[in-house]
Amino acid sequence: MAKDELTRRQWLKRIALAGTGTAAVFGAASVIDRIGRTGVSPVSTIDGPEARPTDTLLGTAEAATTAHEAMYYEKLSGQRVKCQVCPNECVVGPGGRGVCGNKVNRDGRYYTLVYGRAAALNVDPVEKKPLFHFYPRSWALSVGTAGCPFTCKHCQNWEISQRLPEELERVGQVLNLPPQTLVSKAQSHNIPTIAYTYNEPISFYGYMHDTAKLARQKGVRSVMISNGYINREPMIEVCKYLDAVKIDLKGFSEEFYSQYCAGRLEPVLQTIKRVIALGKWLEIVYLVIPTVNDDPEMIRQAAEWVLRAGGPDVPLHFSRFTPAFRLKNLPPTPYDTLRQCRHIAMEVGLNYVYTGNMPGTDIASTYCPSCGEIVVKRNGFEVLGYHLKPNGACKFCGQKIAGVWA
Amino acid sequence: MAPASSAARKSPVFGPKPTGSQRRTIGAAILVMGLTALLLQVLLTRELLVSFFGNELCIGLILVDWLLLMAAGTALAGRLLNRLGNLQAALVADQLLIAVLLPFQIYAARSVGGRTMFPGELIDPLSVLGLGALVLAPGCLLLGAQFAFGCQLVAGEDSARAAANVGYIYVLEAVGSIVGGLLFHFCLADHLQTVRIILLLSALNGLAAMLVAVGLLVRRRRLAVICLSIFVIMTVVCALSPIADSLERFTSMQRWPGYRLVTSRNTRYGNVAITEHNSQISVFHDGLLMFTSEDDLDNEELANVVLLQHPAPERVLIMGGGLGGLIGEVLKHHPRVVDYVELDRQAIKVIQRHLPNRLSRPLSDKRVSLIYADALTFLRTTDRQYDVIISNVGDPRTAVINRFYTRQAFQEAAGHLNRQGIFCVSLSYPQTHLSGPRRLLHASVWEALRQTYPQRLPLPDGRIYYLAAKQSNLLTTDAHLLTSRMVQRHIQTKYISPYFIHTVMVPFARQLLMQSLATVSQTPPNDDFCPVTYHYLLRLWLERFGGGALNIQLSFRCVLAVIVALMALCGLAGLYMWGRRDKPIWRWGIVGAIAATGVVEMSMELVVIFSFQVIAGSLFYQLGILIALYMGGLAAGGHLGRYMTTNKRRAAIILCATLVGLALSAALMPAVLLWLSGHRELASVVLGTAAAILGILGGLHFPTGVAVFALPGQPAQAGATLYASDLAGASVGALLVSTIIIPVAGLLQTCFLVSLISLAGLFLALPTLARCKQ
Repeated sequence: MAKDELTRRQWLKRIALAGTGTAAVFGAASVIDRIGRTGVSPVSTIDGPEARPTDTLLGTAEAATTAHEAMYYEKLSGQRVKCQVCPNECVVGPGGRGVCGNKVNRDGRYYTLVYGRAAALNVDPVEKKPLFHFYPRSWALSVGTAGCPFTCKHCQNWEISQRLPEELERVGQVLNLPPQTLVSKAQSHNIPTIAYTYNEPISFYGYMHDTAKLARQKGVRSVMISNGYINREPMIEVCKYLDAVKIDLKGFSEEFYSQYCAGRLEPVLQTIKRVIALGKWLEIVYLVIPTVNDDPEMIRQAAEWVLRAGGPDVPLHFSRFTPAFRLKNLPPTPYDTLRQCRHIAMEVGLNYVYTGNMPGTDIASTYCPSCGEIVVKRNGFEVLGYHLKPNGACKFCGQKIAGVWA
Repeated sequence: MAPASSAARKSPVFGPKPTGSQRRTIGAAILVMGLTALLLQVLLTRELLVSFFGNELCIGLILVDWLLLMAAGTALAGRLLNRLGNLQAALVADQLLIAVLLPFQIYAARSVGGRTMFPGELIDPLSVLGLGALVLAPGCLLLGAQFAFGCQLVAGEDSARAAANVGYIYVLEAVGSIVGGLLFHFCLADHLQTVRIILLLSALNGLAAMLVAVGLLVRRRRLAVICLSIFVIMTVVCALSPIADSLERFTSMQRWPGYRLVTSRNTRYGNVAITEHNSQISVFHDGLLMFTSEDDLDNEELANVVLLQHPAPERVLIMGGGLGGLIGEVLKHHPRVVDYVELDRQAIKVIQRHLPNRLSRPLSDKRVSLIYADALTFLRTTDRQYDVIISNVGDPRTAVINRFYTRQAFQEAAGHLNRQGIFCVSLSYPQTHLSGPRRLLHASVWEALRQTYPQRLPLPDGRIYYLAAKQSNLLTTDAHLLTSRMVQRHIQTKYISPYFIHTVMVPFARQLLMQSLATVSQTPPNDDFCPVTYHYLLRLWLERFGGGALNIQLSFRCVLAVIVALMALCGLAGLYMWGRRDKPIWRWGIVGAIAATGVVEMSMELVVIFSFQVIAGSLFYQLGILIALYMGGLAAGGHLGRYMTTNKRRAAIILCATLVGLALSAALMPAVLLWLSGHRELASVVLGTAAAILGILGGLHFPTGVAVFALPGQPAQAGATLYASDLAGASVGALLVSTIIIPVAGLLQTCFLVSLISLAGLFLALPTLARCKQ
C-alpha cells in the first residue's frame, strides 16, 4: 500500500501536467471559438434611411451626477425614514429602499434615484393617454422612469416599472433629462403637453413636481397618468401644477387590488374624489380583464361610484386588456364585453363612456348628452370630426360639453 | 452496502438463476416499462407545457424532473432490494400501480398551472419544477423502481454473467422505448387523443402485470389474475368507447375555467385549443394564444405596414400566422398570388372548422394557396419568387421557432425575393422602451438582417416591424406616398388610416429605437449555428419573476471556464483516486464517469436533433426515425457491451474507450455539421448515422460500468446506482445545453465543450483501469 501512495513530487508533477493540459485546452478553445465566429462574414451594406439618429429631442445616456433628495418623507429615530408620498408609507432603514424601488435611505436622508433619469420617452397623441376631453388632436411628450409602488400582474410597462433604476442604468437605457431639459425640449419642438406616464409617476414624484412647476412657468401643460395611489398632501401640492389627471381604476374590489396589484382600492377612490374637488380635469380608465374583473355587477358598482363621486360628466374609458407581464395566459378582452361595460355605465347615467383599444367610431366618439349628435368623432386615437365651438359647446344644440377644449 | 452473504440470503425466491420462461416474463414486463416510460414522457411533457409555458427552459425543467425522479425511483428501489421479501409480488404491484395511476396523472397535468391554480398567470420556474415533479412523481418513481426490480430478478446469485444480465434489462428497456417512440410517431400521434392512448397504456400495463403474476407469483396467483383481468377489461372498454372522449373533454376543460372550450385536439406538433367567450373565438397552440377572432388591429397594421411599401405587390408569401385575418387584409392589396405556408395540417383543419366565416372565407379565395410544410424547407425546395415575404411565426421562444429569425433564414428569404422585393419580420415590443434582454434580442435579429439586406427599416408600433429590401432606396417613410397607395388600392379598413400611417412614420420612435440598438452594437447576429435570440427571450421571461439580478451576460468563454474548471476538478479527483485505488473510493469515479456520459449523451442527442431541424427542417417523421436510431444504437450498444464484459479489466478498458470515443465523436461533429450545411440533402443519412453511433457508444457504457462497479452478489444494486447517475447526468445535460450552452456558445462550440465533459468523465474512469490491473 505504501508503494502505491503518491510522493509529493509525483503529486506536483501530475498537477503541473494537468495545468499544462488545461492551458492547452483553453488555447485550443480560443482558436476554435475564433474559427467558429470568423465563418460569419458581414455582407457589405448600405445603411437604411433611419440607421443613425439625428434628432436632438433624444437625451443622452450620460450618468447622473448626484442623487436628489426625495419630497414628502419623515425622519424617524435610528436613521430610519418614513416615505409619505403614497399610502404604502414605507418605513425604510439605512441603505434600504421603499416598495417602489427607486428611493434609497442614505444615512437617514431619503433620496430618489430617478430624478431626471428617463427610462422611456415618446411623443404620443394625447388621445393615447387616453385623454379624450383635453385638447383633442394635440401631442404629448411622454416620460417615465424606473419603479412603481404597485406590482400589477398585467403591467404593460413592467420592463421599467418593475426594475431597479441601476438595472436600467447598467444597460444604458436611461436618458438624462432633468426638468429644465425636458421642458425646453417640449418647447423647442412645439409639443404643448408633458405627460408623466408609463411607470407610475407617483414613484418619481419629485421629478414630476419640479418639471410640472417649471412647465407651468414656461407655458407647457402637464398631465399625470397615474394609478391614483397617492396621499392627500402630495396630491394637493402637485395638482397646483397639473392641467389634467388620468387615473386607473383597475378593478372595483379590495380583493382584486390586493391579488392583482399588491395595492388597495380605497386610497385610489380618495384620490379620485380629491382631484374632482380640486377642479382638475379628470378621466378614468378601467382596464377590463376577461374573467378577472369583468363581472357586470362589479362594472355597475364602479360606474355608480364614479357617478356619485364626480357626476355624469367624468369620462370613463373601458380599455381592452392584452396579455402582458405575468398575466399572459388569458386572451384579450372580447369586444362584446367592452360594449356591455359601456352599456352598463351609460345605463347608470354617465355621459361620456368610451371603449379603448378596439376599432369603431360608435364607441370612441363623444356624443352630446343633450341632442345626441356626435360632437367629436373618433376611431381609436384618431379624431375624424370636431363639432364643438371654441368654448366647448355643441355646434348643434349649444350644450356645453365637459372638458378642456381650447 | 449490505454484505454479500446478506444479499444472498434475501435474494429472489426462484434461486440462483431464473429459468428461461421467468426471464422472458420479466423481459416482457421491462419491455412494457420502456414503452410506457417513453409514451408517458412524451404525453405528460406535452400536457405540462400546455399548462405551464412552452419555452426551452420549461421543456428542460420538465425533462429534469422526469430524469431525476426516474433516477430517484431506481436508486430508492435499489436500496430496498435486500429488504423486500417477495420481489415478484413487488413487481406485480408496481406495474399495477402504474396502470391505475396513469389516467390520474393526465388529469393532474391538465389541472396544474397558470389557468387553474393562478388564473391567467404565468408561473415561475421554481413552481414549474415543483408542480412538474408532483405530477410526474408517481409514474417516474414506479417506473424507476421497476427497472431496479427487473435487474434484481434477472441477475441471479453469484452469477458470472450477473452484470451482463443487468445489461439485458437495460437493453430491453431501450427496445421498449424504441417501440414506444415509433408507435407514437407513426401511429398514435396522428390518430388517437391523449386520454385514449393513456387508457390503452393502462390496459397494457395491467396485462403485463397479469403476465408477471401468472409467470412468477407462487401465492395468491388466482386472485391477482382475476382482479387484473377485471381491470384490463374495464380499461379497454373505456378506451374503445365514447367514455374516452368524454374523459378527454372533461380533463381538457380543467384548463379553461370561465371559458367555453369549443375544442381541444392534440396533433403531432402540439395541442390546439379553441375557446369562446362573449362571441370572441380564441385559438391557442400549446397553451399560448395564437390569435383571436378580434385581432383586426394587428392584422390590418401588419398587412398595410408591409404591403404599402411595395408599389405593386403581386406575389406574396406568408410564413405562418395567417388564419386570424392577415390573409384577408393582404388580399385587399390585390395580389395575384398569395402562398400561405403552415406546418401543422391537422391544427389548421381543426381551426378552419371553427373560424367565423369572415376569417375562413379568404382561405378559399382562388388566389390563395395553402401549403403544408416547414416554411424554411419550403423556401429551400421551391423556385418561386415573391414581391413580399412576411414571416409571422411569433416570437422565438423555442429553438425551433428561432430558426426563422436567423441570418440563414433571412438569406433564404432574400433568395426568393424579386428585385424590388420586401421582407418583413416582427418582434413584440412594449411600445416605449427596450429593456436589457429585449434590447439584445432585437439587436441580434437586427444584426442578422443588417448582414443580409442592403436596406432596412424598423417601424415600431404595436410590434417592431423590421422591413428589409434587396435594393437600397426602396423602403420609404414618406407617409404621403404610402397613403396615396392606400387610396389607389381602395383599401377599406376598420382602423388603419392615413392618420395612422402618419403617426407610424414619425421619426422619433425609430430614432429612439436605433439609439437603443446602438448601445448594444456588438451583439452577435442570430445564426443557425449560434441561435442566441431565443436565449435572450428566455432571459426576458426569467425577468418576469425577478430574475433580473441573475441576468449575467454569459459568453462562450464563461461557459468554457466553468467546464475547464470542472475538468480540472475531475482530473484532480482522478489523480486522488488513482493514488488510493486499493480503497473503495475509486468506485465513485465510475459513478462520476457514468454521470458524465449521461451529460454527454443527452447533450449530443440534443445537438443532433437541433442540427437536423436547422439543416433539414422540422420534419416530424424524420425526427422520429432519428430518435429511434439513437435508441436503437443504445440498445445495440448495451447488447454488445453484455458480451464484451467478460472480466473487469476488459470492462474497464471498454468504459474508458467509450469515453474517448464520445469525446472524439463530439469533437468531430462540428466538421460534420459544417459539411452538411453545404449538403443538406444528406442530413437524414449522416445525422441518422451519427445518432446511431452515439447511441452505440452510450449503450456500451452501462453494462461495462456495472461490470466494473458491482460488488460480488450485488449487480442489481450496481445497476440501479449507475442507471440513476446516468439519468441525473442526462438531466443536467438537458437543462444546460438547451437553455444556455447551445444559444450562448453555438452548436459547433457546444460539441467541443461536450467533448471536454467526456474527457472529464475519462479522468474519473481512469483510476478503474489501475484498480482492475491489480
